[in-house]
Amino acid sequence: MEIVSLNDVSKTYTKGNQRVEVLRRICLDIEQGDFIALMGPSGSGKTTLLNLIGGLDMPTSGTVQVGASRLESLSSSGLARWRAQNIGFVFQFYNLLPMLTAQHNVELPLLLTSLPSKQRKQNAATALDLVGLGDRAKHKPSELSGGQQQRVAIARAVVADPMILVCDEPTGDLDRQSAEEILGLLEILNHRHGKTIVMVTHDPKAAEHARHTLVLDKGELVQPAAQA
Amino acid sequence: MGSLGFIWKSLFRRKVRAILTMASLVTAFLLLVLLRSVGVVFEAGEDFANVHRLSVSSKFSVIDSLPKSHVRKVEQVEGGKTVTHMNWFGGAYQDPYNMVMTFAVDPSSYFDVYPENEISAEHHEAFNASKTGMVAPRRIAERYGWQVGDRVPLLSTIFQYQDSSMGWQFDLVGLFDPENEFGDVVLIRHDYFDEGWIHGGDEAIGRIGVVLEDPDRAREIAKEIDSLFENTSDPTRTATEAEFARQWLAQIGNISLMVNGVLGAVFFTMLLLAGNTMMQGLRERTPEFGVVKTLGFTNARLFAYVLGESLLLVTMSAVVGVALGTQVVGFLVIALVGDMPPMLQSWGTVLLAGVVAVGFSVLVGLFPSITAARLQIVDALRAR
Repeated sequence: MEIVSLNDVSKTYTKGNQRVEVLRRICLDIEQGDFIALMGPSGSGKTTLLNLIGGLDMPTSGTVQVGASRLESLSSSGLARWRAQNIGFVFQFYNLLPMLTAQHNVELPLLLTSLPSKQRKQNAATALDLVGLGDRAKHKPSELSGGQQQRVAIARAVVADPMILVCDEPTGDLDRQSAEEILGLLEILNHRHGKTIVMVTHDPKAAEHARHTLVLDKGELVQPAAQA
Repeated sequence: MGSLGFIWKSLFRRKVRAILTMASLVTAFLLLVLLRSVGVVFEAGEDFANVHRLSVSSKFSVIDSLPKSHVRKVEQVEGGKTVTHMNWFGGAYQDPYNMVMTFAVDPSSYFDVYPENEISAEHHEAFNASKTGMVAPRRIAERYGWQVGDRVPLLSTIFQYQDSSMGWQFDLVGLFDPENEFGDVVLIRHDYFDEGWIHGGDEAIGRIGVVLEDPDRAREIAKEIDSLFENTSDPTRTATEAEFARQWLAQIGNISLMVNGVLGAVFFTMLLLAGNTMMQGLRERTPEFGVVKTLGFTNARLFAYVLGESLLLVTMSAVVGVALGTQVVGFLVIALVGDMPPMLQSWGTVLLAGVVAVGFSVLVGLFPSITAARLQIVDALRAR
């Protein structure tokens, strides 16, 4: 069953007097439970495509359907609520809030739910256990390694049990060993927990962990999805 | 961690900066309490002043005296029900800095003109009977441990006794209960004062108090009294007590305007300082705002969080500042005067501080809140 469906999607930015067409008439379907690696040279539109799927940005034309929602039809606050319920984000530079402990960073998305405080704490602890950092709950980001910070970011992404994980170069700032740990973790989330994952990467080794790889070049999909 | 916890942690993201900003705001609110207390004292003097009584003093200045013969002439004016007179004595007890406000009065008529000071018939009679007698407000007597029957020495800051010293001896013959702290004035007899003063004997008085039969005729009667002495060497200026209080305040300047001016300058400076701090925080945290929006925080929620930070910062500072200010005022008043006048513990000042705190929070926090709420996620994340 398709969980993401992009139909004839284009995205254009205006820089000064220039119009820059970042994505051109993209048509893409992603099955539920898939793990997609999105590759391509810099400036090819990978992150823009990811932002459209995650509801961080809107297409200039075309439609983006994720689950039962047509994203263009949602209001700004409706889109925010939709993201909170359906999408988990993992960034290259982790983007943890420096003043919060690992536990509190993971708990942050749960502030948007009606869960009581005790339940929020418990869920955050479970998510940290899932990524193997239950014993680092009280540490602040500055007290953790890059790999550990990215694992906390993954715990934060999954704590609200979203259906899709959107990962923008999650191993781009990590050494090989840490990168492999993170990719292994994403595989577990995909295989055991059924999360649909869309991951932007420059790294062919990282892409090997995905079920399918898509290649973008100059705003167009140039290679059809291939079985990993 | 709840929403408040998140706001708290965001506020103290940079502890030193947050604490220094708070310290500045605490100082501003402490100043607000101190200066408003000064204002309250001056404004209260006018509030407690009476419109049913006329005050007759020298036209030249309140410190110039009038001949006692003026009293008899004022008594003849139709519409004046009761008349008395008084003279500033300026007392101090044991130490020149231990001021005890003292007036030399006519014992037989004073309490008729100022009935808000309640005295028993027995103590009033004793005051009438004893030339060296003195009556004191119960609060003052308790403060200094005076008992009826005690001989109380007072220093005058102006009037020398016949032996050329500034020391005077009085017999405490009675106590009375003033209506408010403005009645906390010790009373001695004018005839004893006039005889005892080394330059006395001319029966000079400082001020005449007149109770009006009909307050609506105050202006007319005041004019009539002044016309009696218009072409004499001792012309008068007559006004209701309320007007007299206003004129006196006008002589020393518009205290409220000065107080509010200083406070306005303080808070304007603080507005720039706190606003700059909030804007610095906004710039530093732009990518973080992008992250929380990514997680699903709506624009309205982010607006509320950022404004909440401002509100928390200013409210905490206001609570500490007002608490400290109240303590400092209490300490100063007790050290300088004795009892804390109830009006200084005014809820009005606390309420004012609350209103200022909320208004200030909004002014300081509004722009960063709107900016944070309007941030586009993609742009905010790129600002890293």
